[in-house]
Amino acid sequence: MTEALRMTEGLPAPQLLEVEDLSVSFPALRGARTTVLDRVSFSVGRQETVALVGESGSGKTVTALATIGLNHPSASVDGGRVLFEGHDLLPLGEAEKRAYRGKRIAMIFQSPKASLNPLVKAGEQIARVVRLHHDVSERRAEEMAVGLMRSVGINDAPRRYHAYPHQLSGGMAQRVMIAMALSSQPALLIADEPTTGLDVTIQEQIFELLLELKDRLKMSILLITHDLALVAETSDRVVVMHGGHVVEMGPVEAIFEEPKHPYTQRLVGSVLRADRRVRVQAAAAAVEGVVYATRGCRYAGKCEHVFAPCADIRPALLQVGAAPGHVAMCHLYDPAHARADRTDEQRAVSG
Amino acid sequence: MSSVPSRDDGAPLLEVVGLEKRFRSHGHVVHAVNGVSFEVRQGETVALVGESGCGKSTTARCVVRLTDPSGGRILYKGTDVTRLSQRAFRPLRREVQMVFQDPGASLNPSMTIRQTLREPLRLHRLVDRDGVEERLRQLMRLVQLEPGLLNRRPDQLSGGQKQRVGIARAIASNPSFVVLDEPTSSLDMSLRVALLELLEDLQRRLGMTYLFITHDFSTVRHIADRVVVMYLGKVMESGPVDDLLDEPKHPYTQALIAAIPVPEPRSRPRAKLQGETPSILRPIAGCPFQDRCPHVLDDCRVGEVPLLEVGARRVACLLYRDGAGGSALRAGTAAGSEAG
Amino acid sequence: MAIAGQAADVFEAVDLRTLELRRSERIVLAVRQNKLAAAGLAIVVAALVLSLVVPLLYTVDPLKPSPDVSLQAPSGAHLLGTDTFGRDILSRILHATRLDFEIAFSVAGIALAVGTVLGAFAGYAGGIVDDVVMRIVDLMLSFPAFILALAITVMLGNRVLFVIAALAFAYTPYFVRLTRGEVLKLRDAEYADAARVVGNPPWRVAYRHVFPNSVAPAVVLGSIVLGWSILDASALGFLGIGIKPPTPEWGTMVADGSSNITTGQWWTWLFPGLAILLVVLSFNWIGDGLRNLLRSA
Repeated sequence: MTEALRMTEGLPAPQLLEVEDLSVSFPALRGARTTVLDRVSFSVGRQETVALVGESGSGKTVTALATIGLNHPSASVDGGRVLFEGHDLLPLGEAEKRAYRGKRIAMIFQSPKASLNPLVKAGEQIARVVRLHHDVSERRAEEMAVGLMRSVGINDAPRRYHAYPHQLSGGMAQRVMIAMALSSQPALLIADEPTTGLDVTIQEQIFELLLELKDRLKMSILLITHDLALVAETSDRVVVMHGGHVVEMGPVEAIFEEPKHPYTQRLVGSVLRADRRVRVQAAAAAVEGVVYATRGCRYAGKCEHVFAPCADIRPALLQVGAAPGHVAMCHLYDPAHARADRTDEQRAVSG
Repeated sequence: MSSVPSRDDGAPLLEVVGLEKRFRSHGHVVHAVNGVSFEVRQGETVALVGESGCGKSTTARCVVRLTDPSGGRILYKGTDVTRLSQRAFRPLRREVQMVFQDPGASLNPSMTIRQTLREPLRLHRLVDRDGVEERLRQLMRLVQLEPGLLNRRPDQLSGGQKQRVGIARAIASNPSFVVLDEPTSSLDMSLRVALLELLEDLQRRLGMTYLFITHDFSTVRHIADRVVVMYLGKVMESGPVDDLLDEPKHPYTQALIAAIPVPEPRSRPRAKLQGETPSILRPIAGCPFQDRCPHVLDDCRVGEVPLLEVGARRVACLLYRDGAGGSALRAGTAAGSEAG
Repeated sequence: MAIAGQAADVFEAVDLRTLELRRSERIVLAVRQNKLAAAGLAIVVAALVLSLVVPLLYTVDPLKPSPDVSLQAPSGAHLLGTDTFGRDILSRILHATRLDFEIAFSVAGIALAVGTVLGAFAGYAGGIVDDVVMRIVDLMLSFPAFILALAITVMLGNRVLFVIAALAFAYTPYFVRLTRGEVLKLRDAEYADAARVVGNPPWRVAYRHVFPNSVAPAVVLGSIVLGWSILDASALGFLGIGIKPPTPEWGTMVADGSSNITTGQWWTWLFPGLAILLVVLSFNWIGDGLRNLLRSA
């Protein structure tokens, strides 16, 4: 599967992170289980920023957590592999996972103030993480923590070291989280909606910082977000998720300029801009509530181009468009299915 | 029937003059709203924009009298309603309504949707017993929800549905003026657009005037006619939407708009504005933006910076006094963009 | 937080499923998720039914002393044995059930009703009203409920009415404090603001919106007080200050039987003790179940 996917994506092998056919389910009602991730596959290369985009319920957060084994205990991984630098992380035990978690793969979360320990001084929390990864004395760890705080743009670091999380602003708290995450110089940083809820000027500062650090530390970033404008500004490649499936993937230009999957088209079409008034598609009237088909395409219930094979047959992830590595999971692009059934409209959509 | 007679002399529907709201917090006095003035004319949508802590939500709450102003005046249809008691204000509540930010929190969890929507109808005696059910169905249809949902409780609805109920509740009394406090902030992108379209449609159909509170300029561009930009309790700039967003005059507005990510691939983030918003606990003399402004002058640090008229715009910035027209600003901006 | 974000993903997915459940399925689900509470409820209902029905069939007089059959071990004639005065223990336990339940529900009911209203009023009104009420509450809370009830019963006398009044008085402050806390939280809730903007006068915001949503923790506490009041009544009885003999009450029965611990007539204290244990435990389980139910609501 990996080989096939890589060839489809046109990317060099092997990547820093390769998620392959990952499936995760949670217990639901009546003894059944809900499949929250259904054979999700994507990769993150060295020194690139990949955005995992989707709305609530798409499974993007579960994907990120599954990568480092931080899922809720009731979650069950039903299949797939998570290859980091060639090693499969999923079958590893807790102790082995910890060799990666925080060291080689770090993560920062939404609501930084909620993710910090309210009872411990901010600088002290960074120092603790430093001591976790490096064998240094308390004093040395404190010095390193202050240094880290400076490198993430916290002015007056020695004084801010002694502040408690509730005394920090949202932007400052997120910088503290970044300092903690980068203390071990990880190869991959997973950022789960790191600036949602922060002011846009602060968001700009945080991402300027992250991209600068990415270049300096030769790091990759897996950015999870629902903000497409932010994705355009910061990412190299985009993975679009819906209903636990990866529906489209590709270079950022391809996704924005030539979205192929109907869901991506709707998403991109509903992005409002501040620099000019956007004409939004009438079909942007969103259908809410998720109805999961057990087979077939999970967007079928909401898709305006749905036709015969959609409800029963899961679409294959196929190359679409001109850009290398631009793939989509849709029957409209599958010559095997989309023959006589296609309407003129569908033909126009898929080009 | 309106409880306040409307004047046909073109007076604005809502006028806020020098509004002030002070709180006591930890022994300090916090000037959450510190001399805010703007107006909203019949039928238009005015957006009140700013980052966290600017005082926009507090201003909105003063307008609907959820809190009482500490100073200044609020005029509705030309009549001064600032000093009205809560009881005297109540008849006005038929005309002045609000849509809240968090749909989950703004609906009473132990009441059904039917009970929630019936309340305004009953309180203002808008329909007699027999007409209630029909009016409820009509309201649901107006917000594009199936009437079957009337029997449900909020926890049985999705986020978008709950927000539509919030809108239905606000329009139940056929208000002329609706304050919307970040109504789409908690919704996904595709739902956001659908809701904005609904709000615009309702405004046209029912002839309402909107005061739209938000921090998101792309929403402002899409829905507003005029914009009022706030920072640390004061108005920095106000004017027609396209005009202001295309050519912001106040340094703060310029930095704010420059910070908005544009959905163009491969644009990199470049933070024009460094530092954090200063705490509102420490009141400062002069312009609230003095510590972060690239064009700050000595005069900016003393006294009050007045809201100056520059064409159709109002700008609270000394760079525009004496009709200077901000030439220094334009030169400065050009230099800035070369370096940046 | 990570788990919260994940929960949002999952619950969006499970979301629609809950809507599809019929009412009967929801009840079954509630029972399945709260087995202990269901068991507790079953026990309480069974006890009540038994106490009402069985005496009609099993007409042994709980009060009449029969010295000739005193202190008999459980047998065919007396299923749970007889006490010092030759009275049938089973019959006494069943009759005591009604009394103990009466005490429990009266105490909890009064304390709940008075306490929640007072607490809601204090919390909503704020200011000096709140201060005065809370200082009185603090004063009462500085005594353990049992000691307070003890003092009152000694003063007034040990009729059932006074025992109930004393216990209700002693437990009211807990309800006041609990409800006041909830009201303080909810007074500024967004739906309370929404209710104000819609045009509700302050009294209606308090009565229709804030108060109904504030009573959940009080209801849970109420179910726990049901159990505690039985224990307190029993303890009072044990000390000789509770219900006057020969009226059967579990606590006094345990007190009478306690003198037989060393002499070996275990049935005189064990069975009434078990009755107390079972019922109090059941009320506690019900309380837990209620708390789970109200938390997920």
